[in-house]
Amino acid sequence: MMRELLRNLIEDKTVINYKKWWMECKDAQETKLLAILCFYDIDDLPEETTAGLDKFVLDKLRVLSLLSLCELSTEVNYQEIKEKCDLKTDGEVEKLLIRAELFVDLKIDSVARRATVLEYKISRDVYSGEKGVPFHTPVRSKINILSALINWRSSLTD
Amino acid sequence: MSSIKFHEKSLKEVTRWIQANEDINTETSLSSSSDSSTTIPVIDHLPARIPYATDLKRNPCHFQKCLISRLATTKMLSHAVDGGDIEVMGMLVGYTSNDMIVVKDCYSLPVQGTETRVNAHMESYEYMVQYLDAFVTKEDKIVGWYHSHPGYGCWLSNIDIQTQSLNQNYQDPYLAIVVDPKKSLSGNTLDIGAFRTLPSKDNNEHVDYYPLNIQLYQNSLDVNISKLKLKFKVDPAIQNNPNEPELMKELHECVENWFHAKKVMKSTVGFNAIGSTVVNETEIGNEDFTHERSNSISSTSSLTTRHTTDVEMDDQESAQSSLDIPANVIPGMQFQEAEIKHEYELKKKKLLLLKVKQYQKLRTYRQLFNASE
Repeated sequence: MMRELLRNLIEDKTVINYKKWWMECKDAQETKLLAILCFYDIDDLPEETTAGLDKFVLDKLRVLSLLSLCELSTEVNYQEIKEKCDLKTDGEVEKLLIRAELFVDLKIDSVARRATVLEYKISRDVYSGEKGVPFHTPVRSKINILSALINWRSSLTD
Repeated sequence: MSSIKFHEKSLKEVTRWIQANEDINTETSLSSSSDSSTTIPVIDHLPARIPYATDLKRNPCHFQKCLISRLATTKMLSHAVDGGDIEVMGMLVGYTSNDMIVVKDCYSLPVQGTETRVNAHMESYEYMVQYLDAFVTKEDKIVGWYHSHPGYGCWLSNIDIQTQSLNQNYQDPYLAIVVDPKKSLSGNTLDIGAFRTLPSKDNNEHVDYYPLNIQLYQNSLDVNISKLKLKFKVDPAIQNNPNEPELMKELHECVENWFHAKKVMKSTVGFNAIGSTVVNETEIGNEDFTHERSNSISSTSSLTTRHTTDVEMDDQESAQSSLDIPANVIPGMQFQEAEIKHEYELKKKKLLLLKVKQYQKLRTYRQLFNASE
């Protein structure tokens, strides 16, 4: 895969799905990077891995991590975002929330220091076991989603 | 520095928004004579001016209402729409009356924003003062600032809160207005918020803010303007002649060719005839700059005096004799130079003729309008 294409994909603020390129990629390093962008959050990665990532990749990974957080709850507070996305100030949190507006419709309350998800516009990639992954099995996998759906169906019928 | 530009696209969108909003009924607490065709209340007599005494210790939530003119909202929205994904910023002009801040007008600031931030720098402050001196009456003053949040709603971010808090401390009364152009256009309703900050409690770093109740108003002249249907349409070809950009481009190319030929000539001369006229690099840089300026002036000033467009080029002629063919260049080059000069004169004349025609037509329209008054 062309490094330039990968760079463009990372820098493109509108792209959050990389699975297509991950599946096609032959280069080991690029495959690893694409797997990170597809299935993992910042706090899933070992420190030595995050230390080796450049600013653009980290920025994109922060947006992706925030989207993962928004999948868990419709209300997220600034503190949770700071911890999940490795941020330090409220200003950084708000900047990230504004970036994420492309993918989730948010209502930001800077006084209560929380954001409410009004609408999900797009989802991150889901792992279906197509290829090996560099770290633990991703949480957002086909098996996990299926089992969650089965549990939900059971809870409705019981 | 540019004031608010009512670009064609944004103006069209804003007009559509106004038309959509004029059909919606809203309640108003102010006594006003409202027109049945409009929803924005018509207020010809604005509340009395009651200056805000900053020395008195007041309730931090003293200001509760904000009266904004239709003119100001239209200008803010237009400016924000023009900004697209980039945040824009401007100042609010008006006065205070008890617990109300009246925003009569606004003006944009020449600032460089990003998608998440907008900052005013020194030149913006200079512009702010100059604009006030030139266009705002002495009774009115700056009562706040506005900025856009393209697509992410009307609220104050932490940086906005800091900015507002600082301004409230030093030049109260001060109001912060946020407008979301994207949500306004997609929802066909003005997405706007007016806010003021509250003092922080117990040295808490998080400053709070509160929203003000917004009331829009318009005067009878605004109503008339929206009803106005021009029967006398100005031919769009006059203002926007399709040949003009092409001609301008050709003229530009011509000048570029000229500079290129001159550079080639310089190197040839330097190679063939040591000791002849040498034009140094800084001069070439200056020529490029002068050329750009002459182009930018040409579109507006060519109508009034015959040589306004030529001034820069003529200056060059006198200063550097750039259009005089040096004596010791090779004959082929001499011919090329003369040809470029001829082509340049031809393009310039064509453009000038076009502008003169536009000017004549516009003058005719003006005379017609004056005669009908």
